[in-house]
Amino acid sequence: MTYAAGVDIGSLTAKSVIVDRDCHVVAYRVVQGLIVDEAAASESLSLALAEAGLDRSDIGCLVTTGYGRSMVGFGDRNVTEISCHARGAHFLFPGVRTVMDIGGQDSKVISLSPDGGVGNFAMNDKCAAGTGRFLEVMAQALDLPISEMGPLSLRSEAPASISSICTVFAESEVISLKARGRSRLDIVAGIHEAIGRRMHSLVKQVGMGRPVAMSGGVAKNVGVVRVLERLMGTDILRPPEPQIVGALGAALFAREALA
Amino acid sequence: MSDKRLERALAPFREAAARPYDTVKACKASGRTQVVGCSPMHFPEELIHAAGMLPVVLQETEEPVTEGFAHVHPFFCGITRNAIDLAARGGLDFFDGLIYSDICIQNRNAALSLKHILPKGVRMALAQFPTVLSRDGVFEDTLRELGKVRGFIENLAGRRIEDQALAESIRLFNRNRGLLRRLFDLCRESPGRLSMRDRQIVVRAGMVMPREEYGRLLAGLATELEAVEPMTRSGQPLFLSGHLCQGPKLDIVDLIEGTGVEIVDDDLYTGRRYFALDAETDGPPLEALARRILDRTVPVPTRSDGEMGWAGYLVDRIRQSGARGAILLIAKYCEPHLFVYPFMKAALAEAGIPYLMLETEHEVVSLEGMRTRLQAFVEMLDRKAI
Repeated sequence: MTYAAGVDIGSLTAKSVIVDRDCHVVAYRVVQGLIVDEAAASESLSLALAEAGLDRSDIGCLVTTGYGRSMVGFGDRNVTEISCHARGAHFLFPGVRTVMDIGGQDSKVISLSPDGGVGNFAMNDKCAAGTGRFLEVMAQALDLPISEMGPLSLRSEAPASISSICTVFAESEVISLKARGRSRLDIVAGIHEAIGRRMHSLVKQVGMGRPVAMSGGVAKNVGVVRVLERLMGTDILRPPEPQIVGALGAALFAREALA
Repeated sequence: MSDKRLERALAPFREAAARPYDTVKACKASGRTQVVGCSPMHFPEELIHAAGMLPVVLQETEEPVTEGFAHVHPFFCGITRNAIDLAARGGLDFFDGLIYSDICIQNRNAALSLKHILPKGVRMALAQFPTVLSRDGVFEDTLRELGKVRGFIENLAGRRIEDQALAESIRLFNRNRGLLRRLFDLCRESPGRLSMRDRQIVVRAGMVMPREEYGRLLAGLATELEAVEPMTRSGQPLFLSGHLCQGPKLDIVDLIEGTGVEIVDDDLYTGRRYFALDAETDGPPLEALARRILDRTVPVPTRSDGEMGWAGYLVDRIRQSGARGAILLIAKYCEPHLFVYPFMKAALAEAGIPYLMLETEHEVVSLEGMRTRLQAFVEMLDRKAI
């Protein structure tokens, strides 16, 4: 058993990462679902194992993380997504001091100490404002594919002012702006400003150290990233696959536990 | 000592804390006494006891606020919204009297609302003890206000409160407080002796039970606990701070202990804060109560003495307890607590004490989010310890 695995069970996706003893990622998988449960988590692991040409018995230690970390029965231990995102980001970007994770329904900021451990953190999980769900709702209100929202937002020169406090109120505002004839470009840009402002206020709670990295699905949205870079006055590091950072961190904790 | 004996010793406390107002109503129904409620924090319950009535510190119950919203804004703290809601549904009608202390704007407004909502059979008073402690004449003003409150209670009870009776009440309350200190000291030596949940329950029961009976039961519990050998420590030792005038929900206490930490000490209202100070037993008893109200040993952000004492007090308490970090519980919309929180943050950061702030609400939401925060904090401490 020379491999370790991490499974991140989020609200909208289940992610699995397998690493070898040298901490090389040998496979990963992201499974999207309406409701993420043990079956979805298990499916993501099975797909990652298949890609790596491995069997479950090849995994010496498996750590689960994420919202559903305690609900699956196939892990050896569970570690919070706070610790796992910090670990994963530190592995990908040694020396990173701030990690922002915007997921499907929550967001978090983690401040790392110089040795890569968690120094401080703040979470917003009381509502979905500023998260992937926020973007989905707005995309639907604007009748746009979510993948186009980010690039479109960059083309506006006058972003509309939109609430960052509540997804439901923001949706009402978007519909109202559409009815008043405001351009979709400006509304989309306003939505991204709202997400950026909300995230920025969370960063300020924790304090920002450089360099800054971003993880989670919303890190793929170039519009949100640009807004945050402007508000924070710094470039933001992004991995090629930001959704698996938590699972990667979990896999690294699992690797640490291997004899 | 067997677990069964401890369970038996804890049973009456658990019963009283689980159904606090049923306990009070049972007292009243048995014809034993009139019952007078008082709001946290500084109110001297001894005055009510000395008048032959049962003092009841108002408890926050579990029901969500419904009818109460017609009388109170949603941005009031849990214990005031809960009290107003209970009153609106007739849930406080069994009280013979209710005395609120003017400690903060929510309490003051709650008193005004309750005066309108409660039936005439529940007589109300608002005790306005001084809140600025560093000025001349504060002792005399406190004594004067105590005299007014004493008059209200005497009127309610239909009898005078004799100094001798008041002195005896003070001695009883001091004895009970001493027993609670002993219990909590035993738990500081070995937190496994009694869970934080049970410690909370024991204190809360003492806010509603007849105090003589409570004292006897406390003495029995203390004897049982003293017989328990200290247990091997496990888990991160932590200090639990906050909740100025209401107990944290027991679900949250369970959540905290469920992460495997050991709560070695606290400064909760329904913990150490409640029994930290005794009243003097020599001299005029009313003056002793006034001095206890004005005692600044345990700082409180609802009062000003020209300094923000709580931050330094908290750091000292945490260090004395041997805790490796602290969990700060702040009840949502508690303005006094939020005023001092920046000073506490700064003091804890300067002292190098890791802490986690958890905002709590009357309607318990997002327990999973709280669990994640707690577990992440413990993981942080565990890695620091390596």
